Amino acid sequence: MARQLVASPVMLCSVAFLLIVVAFAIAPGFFAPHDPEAQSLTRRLLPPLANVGDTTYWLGTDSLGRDMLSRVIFGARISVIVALAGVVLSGAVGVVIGVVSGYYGGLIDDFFGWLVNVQLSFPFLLLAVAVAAVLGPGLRNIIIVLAVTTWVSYSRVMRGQVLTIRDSEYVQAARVIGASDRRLLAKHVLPNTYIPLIVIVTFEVARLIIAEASLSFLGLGTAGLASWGTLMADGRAHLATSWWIATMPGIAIMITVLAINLIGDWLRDVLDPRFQRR
Amino acid sequence: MLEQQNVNRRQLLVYGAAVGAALPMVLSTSAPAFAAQDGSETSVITVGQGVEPETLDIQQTDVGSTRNVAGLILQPLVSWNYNTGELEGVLAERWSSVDDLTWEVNLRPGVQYTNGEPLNAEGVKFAIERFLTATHPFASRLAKLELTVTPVDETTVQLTTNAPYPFVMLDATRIPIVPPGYLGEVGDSEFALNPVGTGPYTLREWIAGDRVVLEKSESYWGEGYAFDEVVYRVVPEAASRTAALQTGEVDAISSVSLLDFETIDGDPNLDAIAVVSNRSMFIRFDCEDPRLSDVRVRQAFNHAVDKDLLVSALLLGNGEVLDGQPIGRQIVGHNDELEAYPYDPDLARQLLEEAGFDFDEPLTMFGTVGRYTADQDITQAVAGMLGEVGVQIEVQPLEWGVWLTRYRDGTLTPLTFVGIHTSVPDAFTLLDTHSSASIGGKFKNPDFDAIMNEAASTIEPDARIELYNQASQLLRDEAGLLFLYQQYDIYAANHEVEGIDFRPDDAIDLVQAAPAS
Amino acid sequence: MQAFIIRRLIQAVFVLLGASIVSFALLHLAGNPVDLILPMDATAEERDAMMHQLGYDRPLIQQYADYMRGLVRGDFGESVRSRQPAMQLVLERLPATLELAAVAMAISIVFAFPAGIAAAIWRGSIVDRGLMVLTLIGQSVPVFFLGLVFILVFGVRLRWFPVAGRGGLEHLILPALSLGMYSMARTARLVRSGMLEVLHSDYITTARAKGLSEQLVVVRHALKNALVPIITILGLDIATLLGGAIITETIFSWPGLGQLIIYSVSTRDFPIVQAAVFVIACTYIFVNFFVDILYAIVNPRVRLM
Repeated sequence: MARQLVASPVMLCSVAFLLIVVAFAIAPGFFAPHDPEAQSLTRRLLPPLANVGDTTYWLGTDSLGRDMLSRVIFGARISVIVALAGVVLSGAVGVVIGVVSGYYGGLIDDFFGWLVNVQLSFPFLLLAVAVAAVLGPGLRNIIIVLAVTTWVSYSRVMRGQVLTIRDSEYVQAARVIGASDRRLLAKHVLPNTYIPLIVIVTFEVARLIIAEASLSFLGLGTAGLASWGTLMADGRAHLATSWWIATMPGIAIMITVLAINLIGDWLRDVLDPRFQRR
Repeated sequence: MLEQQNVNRRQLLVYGAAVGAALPMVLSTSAPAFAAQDGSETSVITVGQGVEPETLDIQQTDVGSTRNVAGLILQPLVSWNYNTGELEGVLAERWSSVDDLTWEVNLRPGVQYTNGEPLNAEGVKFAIERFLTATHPFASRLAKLELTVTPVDETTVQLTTNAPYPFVMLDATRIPIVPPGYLGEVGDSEFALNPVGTGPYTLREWIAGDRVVLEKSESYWGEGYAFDEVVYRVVPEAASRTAALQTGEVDAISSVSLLDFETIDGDPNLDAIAVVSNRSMFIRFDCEDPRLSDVRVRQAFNHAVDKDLLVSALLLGNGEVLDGQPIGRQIVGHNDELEAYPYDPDLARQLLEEAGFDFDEPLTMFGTVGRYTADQDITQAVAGMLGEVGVQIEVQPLEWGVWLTRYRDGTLTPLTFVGIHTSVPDAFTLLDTHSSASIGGKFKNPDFDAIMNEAASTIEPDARIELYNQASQLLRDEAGLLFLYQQYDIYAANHEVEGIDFRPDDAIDLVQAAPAS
Repeated sequence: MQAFIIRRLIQAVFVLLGASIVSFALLHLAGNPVDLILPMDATAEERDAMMHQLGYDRPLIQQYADYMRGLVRGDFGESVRSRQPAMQLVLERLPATLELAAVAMAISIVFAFPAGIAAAIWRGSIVDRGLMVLTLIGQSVPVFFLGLVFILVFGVRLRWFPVAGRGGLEHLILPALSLGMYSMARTARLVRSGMLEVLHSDYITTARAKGLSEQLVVVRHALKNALVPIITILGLDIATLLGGAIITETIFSWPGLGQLIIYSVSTRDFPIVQAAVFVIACTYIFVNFFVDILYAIVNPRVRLM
């Protein structure tokens, strides 16, 4: 697999870009040229590549004269946390529920099926406001809201996968031999589900970053800490005159999502023998 | 950290006696042109607001955007003129105080509701009595005063309260006079959707969530209101409101975002108008909290915050620093003697040391999210400035509904960012909020309470203003609040229309509005 | 078929019940409408009086029982703020939202299927790469940003379309496009990968070997089989579209249910929110009922149950 990775320059670029984003997230202070909150009203709304004195503002400045490059670098931290924690949390919940309801069926399946339908028939905003009200706003609670609204995709797909695998001949055979449920799941069922899982994860990472932006737009976002989504939502009023304020974090989101998608596609192609390009 | 900035590219409407008698009226310098009065062409003004009216029965609500729409249909007895600083008659021609408990009001003769019902004393009695049981925020306090209306003759009524109450006529500016006959016919529910009043316009259609269309009433008793049609449209997103103004889909908009100022400024066909609002912003101290009970600590907080910088940097100049009182300059009862606590971080540190302030324990400061202009930035900045003098602040922003519930529960302590607004231009509400009897009062000062108690029943204006001055002096000396600023409300209009008066109480007054000549 | 419908009806009742309980609980945890109606300087007495008048001082169980009693009679109560019947206010707004969601979905399907199929057949070609870029934009640009860019470019700059409100077709295009973009991107990608999977499978190889024309293989065999998972996703998308419409409606001042919900949630106008949740849940159930029937038609191996 490593050999295949090296052989693909597109893949190398994608992986490299994601590593950079992760590095930004881990040590933004090391990479950012300025304090992301430092305001300078004499340097407001500078376009990208503007030179003032001995400083170059690569991505321009915002309405308070804050350096956009530094803000984007610091924004990576929140966006990465939201995306990773959201995927892990919703993925874990969704996978467990999907596998359990697919494998055991019956009442358990009916119950979770009901839960999925209740969840989907329900406006996500209401949930967001209620969580913000009950738990207070903040990063942790935003992650909870997002996880609660995205676990369904995992659960649906996993359930379908498990259903097909459960009835396959080799699992039936293993059962006849007397394998326990847990062993069956761990050794035979789960390993056959990771391909669709990778596809969903690549989708969901993008969706989480966007959903967090939407929460910011609705005024329910992360307070104080500006994620890429928050930067976009806050910068939207400037679109007409100073396009870069909302667009630069938007481009950061787009390249990240592109990289994740490319890696996801590539992984699937490599892992699934049917897709081998010959 | 922050740098100063001069704001000059801005038109500013300033109201109030403190500024002087001759007041600039940016949009009404020339006489209104009645361009489309020949009947060949219908003149229409379209106004974009963020919120749709919930009801057109403004006896039930005091929401500014709703009042703007329904205020063209339903009229009160009197209204406040912010330019002259005086009450003026609408449906009332004259009014006078009979004694401490009674006002006599003479109605304008010959006025009819647009359905042909005549306006008379019995009708006014019906309207005000209906108001007392309505959900309007003023209703319950007037009901408690047992406000009664006694018709004297066909066009004269007496308004009586069971205790001296100085604000009968001011409150009357918010009591729309509804037609008894029509209401009896259609009922409350229909009236809310299709009201009839004495105003210059009648309702043509209301498309839920989209627009309310009003047309000029043929039989209007008064002058002004040049437009044949007024359309109020709902455009919730601020950036979209500005876009709709740019494309000409609307002629005027309210609640312009600070950030859109530049867009509007850069467009030669548009004007942005900043209006001093009746809302004062401050940080409320819980003066009973042991960490804040020492007056030196509260004074230190006031010295530690650079109010000018907040206004210039975060509001981009769209505000005015409060001069040591929660009362704007356009409000009756503003104390001209007071001054803001000067920004002096060294003095702040010294005062904190003297008071033995515990620098290790962080204080929680609650804030709002999107309720007030730049609220999150302001709370962060204030926390940062307090941090500079060693006070650790944890900012906790709350969604508005949650904030309000906790405000009323009294759990926004020890510190919260808050704005207090008065619908009538009198300092009473702005001060009385801080008396112990009030639900939001955390000043807990018996002297202050006593003064406000007396003011509440002092009819004679000069005596009452004297009491206000004592109260605001006390509030400043005791540093009962961390005084911040008055924000400006920002409106914008294109050059197709002129003469719109944007008022400090969220109202858009169209009496002088006309198509541009 | 009859058994299927009965089973579905029973399920629907339980889902509605669940949605109503959850929304009721969430709303009551998130505060009350009284605090948002009263002025800032209202006294504690006034607050208590209004709580009592509107019945919010009663035990939660009792409030829920009353709500359920009303619901059984089809009565959702009156809006706390406007005093109009809540369900009527919601139904007034429903057509605008359905119109927007339907057009968005139509645009998304009309574009996504041909694009996805073309990309699968000519894998790695310009078509495929172009689609990748488009789906990327659809996937990674928040709807509020896309909407505002549309407004600025096609409304303010070019003056092709109005930027606010509902009216003729010209009002519909920008909001439907920005709302449909995500669904379009997702569907196109799914069609592409579904087609790829099927095109590589044994029976297509067999069909090809039998000498059937490529066109026939794609349309008759591949597409039909690729449809199965895609229909499921489209069913899910309806929910996303109805929910996502909240932001689109706000940006484009579209007088739909989304705007009503956002305002009613922020003012805690419980009856309206509850009526809206009910209507959205019904729409969702209804749409998914048809999706399942469609599913069975496309894939005869699936039995309705």
